[in-house]
Amino acid sequence: MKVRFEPWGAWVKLESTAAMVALDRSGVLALGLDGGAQWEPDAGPTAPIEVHLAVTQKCAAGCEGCYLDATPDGLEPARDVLLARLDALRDAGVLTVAFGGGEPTTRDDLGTLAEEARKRGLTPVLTTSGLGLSPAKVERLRGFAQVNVSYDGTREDYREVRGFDGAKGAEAAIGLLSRAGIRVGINVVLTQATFDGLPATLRRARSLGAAEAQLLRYKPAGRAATMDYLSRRLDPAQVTRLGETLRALTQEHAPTGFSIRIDCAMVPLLSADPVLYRSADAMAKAGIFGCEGGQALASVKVDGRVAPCSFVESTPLTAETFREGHERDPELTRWRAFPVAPPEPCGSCALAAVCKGGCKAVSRFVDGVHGPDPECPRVRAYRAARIA
Amino acid sequence: MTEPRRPVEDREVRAVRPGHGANCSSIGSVVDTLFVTALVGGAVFAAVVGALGREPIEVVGKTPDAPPAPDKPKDSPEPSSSEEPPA
Repeated sequence: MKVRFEPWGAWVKLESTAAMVALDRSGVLALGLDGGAQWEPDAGPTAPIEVHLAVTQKCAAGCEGCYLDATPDGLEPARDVLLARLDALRDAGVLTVAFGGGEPTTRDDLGTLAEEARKRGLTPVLTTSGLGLSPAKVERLRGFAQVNVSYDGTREDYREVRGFDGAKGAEAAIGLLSRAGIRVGINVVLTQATFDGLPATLRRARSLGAAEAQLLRYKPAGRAATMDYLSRRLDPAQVTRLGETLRALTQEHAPTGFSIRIDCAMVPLLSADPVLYRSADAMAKAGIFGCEGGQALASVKVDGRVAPCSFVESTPLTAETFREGHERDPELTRWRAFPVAPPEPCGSCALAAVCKGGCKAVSRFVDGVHGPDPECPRVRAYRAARIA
Repeated sequence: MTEPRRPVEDREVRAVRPGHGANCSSIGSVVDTLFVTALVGGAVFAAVVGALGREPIEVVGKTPDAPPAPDKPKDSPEPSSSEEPPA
């Protein structure tokens, strides 16, 4: 297992079980370790545990909501450039690298990059559209701990999110990966039009061999940063039903070993659920992450620049300067500072320590500020009360 | 000063994040243990604690003797994620 000291103890990434564990200092001492200088009060922030690495900007799919604005002739870094970025992430203490793009499987050397990540002690995972994935290409993906296929639902639901019907291609990819013995999950972008189809989407994916579904909030970035966003995001009634929906989906699928995962941007929406709103401790114990931009999470974009997350603009830092520069970078510092003293209504929210103010990509687009998530039910209620 | 290795106790585990997650745009968290029975959640927890006692250890990132950053802003309000414990 890999142990990374943190001011409060350590993150431990297990090898025999796919899990990360946060131990307090006493728990770290139980392992026969001591954090030393990293437990001193003046120890700086540590690096993210997970980094999203764009390995290409090339993609022919042309999804309407692509957060990267990927194109068929997008940038593609040379392999040596990416290897240097992997070196830098290893040196910083990053544990997991999520390969993305663009469409990563357009790279012939993707399997080599996964092997190189492993050699550096990093756990590589991958997101792909799955379109055009052949048995030969699947063989190159064996180095990844998990491969997620973008799958927003059958035919019309897929078309609704991406602007074309790629459901069959994605379904074929899920089946190929599963039959090859590669752990495969799906990424499901939730929009107003596809929310009601979610149960059917997950059943279909599970029947094809998927082991997990990650539910993603639709975000206003890249080609989705238009006024259309406002009509495609979940509506308030759907947000209110999100907790009960997750409860029902989990109870249906968990006994089969199929996991449900939510993305960081979904956490504020859970405040509408009265039970979950009182479950902050349980959510923290379950390792649920809200906005971790610039903290547990960072993104290395295709040009090598580092951003707090994939949906916002880059900082001047590069992957190579990240290790030395992330403690002092003003933008990353601002992101880390927000959850320390959040404004109302986050300041009085029971979920604040987990949620950390919600999705800043959304607040920046909708409100024009780095502030509380305007689509959080508590934020909406707070603002409505102030107007009234 | 280090102590001899001993079993990690439940109360020393602040959080468990199951799985790898494989999304390249936003960080994901498994919610199963929020909703499933305590029995299933307990099994996950027991597997994790068992692995903590068995697996060989490799320290990554900043080592215990690494000095703090020389130019850390003194007036910054941030204690950073790392100082924000996950539980």
